[in-house]
Amino acid sequence: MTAGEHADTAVVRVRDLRKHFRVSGGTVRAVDGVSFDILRGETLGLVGESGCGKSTTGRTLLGLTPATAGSVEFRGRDLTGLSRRQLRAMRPHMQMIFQDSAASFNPRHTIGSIIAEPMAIHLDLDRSAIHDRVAELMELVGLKREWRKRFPHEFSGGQRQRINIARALSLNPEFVVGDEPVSALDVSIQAQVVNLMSDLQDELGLTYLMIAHDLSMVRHISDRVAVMYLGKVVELAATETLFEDPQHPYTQALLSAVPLPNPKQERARQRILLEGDVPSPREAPSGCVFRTRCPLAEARCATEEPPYREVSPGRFVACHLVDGAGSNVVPVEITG
Amino acid sequence: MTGEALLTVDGLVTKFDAADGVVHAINGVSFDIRPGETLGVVGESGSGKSVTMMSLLGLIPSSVGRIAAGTARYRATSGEVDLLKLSERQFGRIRGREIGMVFQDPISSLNPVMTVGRQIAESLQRHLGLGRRESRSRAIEMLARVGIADPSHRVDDYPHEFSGGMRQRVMIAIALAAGPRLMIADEPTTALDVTVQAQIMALVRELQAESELAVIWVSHDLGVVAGLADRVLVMYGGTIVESAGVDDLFENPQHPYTRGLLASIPGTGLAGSRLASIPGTPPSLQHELKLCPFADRCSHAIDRCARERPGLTPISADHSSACFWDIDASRQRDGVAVIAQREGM
Repeated sequence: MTAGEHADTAVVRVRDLRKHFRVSGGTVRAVDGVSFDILRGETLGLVGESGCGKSTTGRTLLGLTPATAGSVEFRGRDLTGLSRRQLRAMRPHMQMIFQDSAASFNPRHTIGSIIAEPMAIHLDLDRSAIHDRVAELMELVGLKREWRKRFPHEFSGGQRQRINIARALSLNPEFVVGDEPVSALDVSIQAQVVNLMSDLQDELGLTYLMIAHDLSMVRHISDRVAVMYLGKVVELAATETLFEDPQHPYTQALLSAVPLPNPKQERARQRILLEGDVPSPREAPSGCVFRTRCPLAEARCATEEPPYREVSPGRFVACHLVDGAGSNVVPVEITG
Repeated sequence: MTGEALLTVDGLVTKFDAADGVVHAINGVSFDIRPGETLGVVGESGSGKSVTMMSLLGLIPSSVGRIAAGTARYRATSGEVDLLKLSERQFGRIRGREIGMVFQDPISSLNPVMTVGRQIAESLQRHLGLGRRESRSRAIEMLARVGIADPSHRVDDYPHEFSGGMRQRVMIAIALAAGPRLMIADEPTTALDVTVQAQIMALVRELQAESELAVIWVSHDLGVVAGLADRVLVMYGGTIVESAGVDDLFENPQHPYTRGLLASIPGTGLAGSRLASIPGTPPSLQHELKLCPFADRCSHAIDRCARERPGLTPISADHSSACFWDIDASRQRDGVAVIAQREGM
């Protein structure tokens, strides 16, 4: 990625970010050198299968867990070098929405106090100002202000996720990381929450990083998408470019595996079936991390790590077999 | 997919006793499945899809719930049985032998201290009376059949030595070892990654191509059902609201809930447009179902929906919907109302 390419519009710049965990018998390279920008007002989707490091990337990016190496620039400041106190001062500008809304609430607090909590910690507001702001936030996310005295268990999963969103927005953040924010919800309720999040983005000019494994949802909400595999970003492109013309063999296989809600397309469809499962991030393969499952792998894939490079404007791929023009030089053999 | 039904469920009612009253989980469910057929069962959480399967498999603990009405006639090799009336001992000869089961989480279904080979062999010894040596070689065959590489070595491995996708293959090997004619799979790929899910779906298609195995595949994912099922049941509020052939269901959905569900999947509408969502939340099931369970979320609801409960009414051959409103013609349909549930058995 060329430095400064998005200098004017990047809210977040991630460069060669690494997060390694020491475990008995080795090191888990959960995030192993990822670089990308998140542009003002956009939604960047971050996808990949379990264990690929997408959630750890989100947490490391917000400083919720310290980075092992690399940098995360937010508003021009590198967050990885900040003290806890300095980081805390940055918190109001960056918020996170987690998957399991029920688990993140104290069951004995009313939702009014749950939504008010970040403001009480970070802002110097008096009680009545907080009270008004809670009512305003509840209405913003589609909850009735009269419900402020109720407890979390009185709400459905979709409503609890609205409470979570209200809480995350209480400090007027500029940047929000959603870690699978709708994946625990039923599909009809997912749609309500996704629509709410996109309305709020338009209204408040938010920048989103959306971490998800549901590719249809990611396609719907993202402007650009980054695909992760075993701690690396293997491909990043504008959403439609990525879905219409995936370049990395992993992206191709991943997209071909997504079931489509259309029986005729499903029957006619050619699938790239990968062998086996994702290797353990403790024993990541040498060279290209995808080579053990890649239908196209060659000898050099085992010895040389493919560089993550911009193969055409705005499109990044880490594969030896994708040439400079951004096309896959070896045709993929497709199995039914 | 020919001939007589293998399983015919009629009027299943299942209730649970909760601290704050009775939960009316299943409110009269009827369907059938033929040999070789794949029946997809879709619905959101609490719609009753898993409880229906647990009821059929005798897995509702009597301490918390009961089957209050209905029959489930299954054509077993030894003659017809009613699954809802079997004793636990009789079920021992049905589960595994006549009906294979695969659940979402293979790790909690497998015995962690027994090799996978012994778990497969156990089923063979118990149901088919095979000896040790023969059941071991059959176990190796089964592992090979579900795509486990190097099966003669892997047969002596323990479940934790397999990855998530491989464990689900092992579960399928156990489920099918004794040669059942029906496999009930409840969200079998939900915990798996999408590339591994594609492998398991391909495996099930292959296994079905080899035999007349009937499969009931329960899923919340309409894409998975579109890829596997011949026929689909859509469940809501402990009832079947629509039943149709898979193409018909996706191309010509009739029930307003099915339409809402399909429209809320990203990618089915226009790119960049808002997702269609269904307002409100599913019913609590704390009262006996006397009206349409979807009425309070339905934009087509008419007066009758709040007074009577629509029964599953045929619209065309092999397509039924439980709705009083003809959505295409925009007029009332002569739907049959469900008057009262038959109780007692």
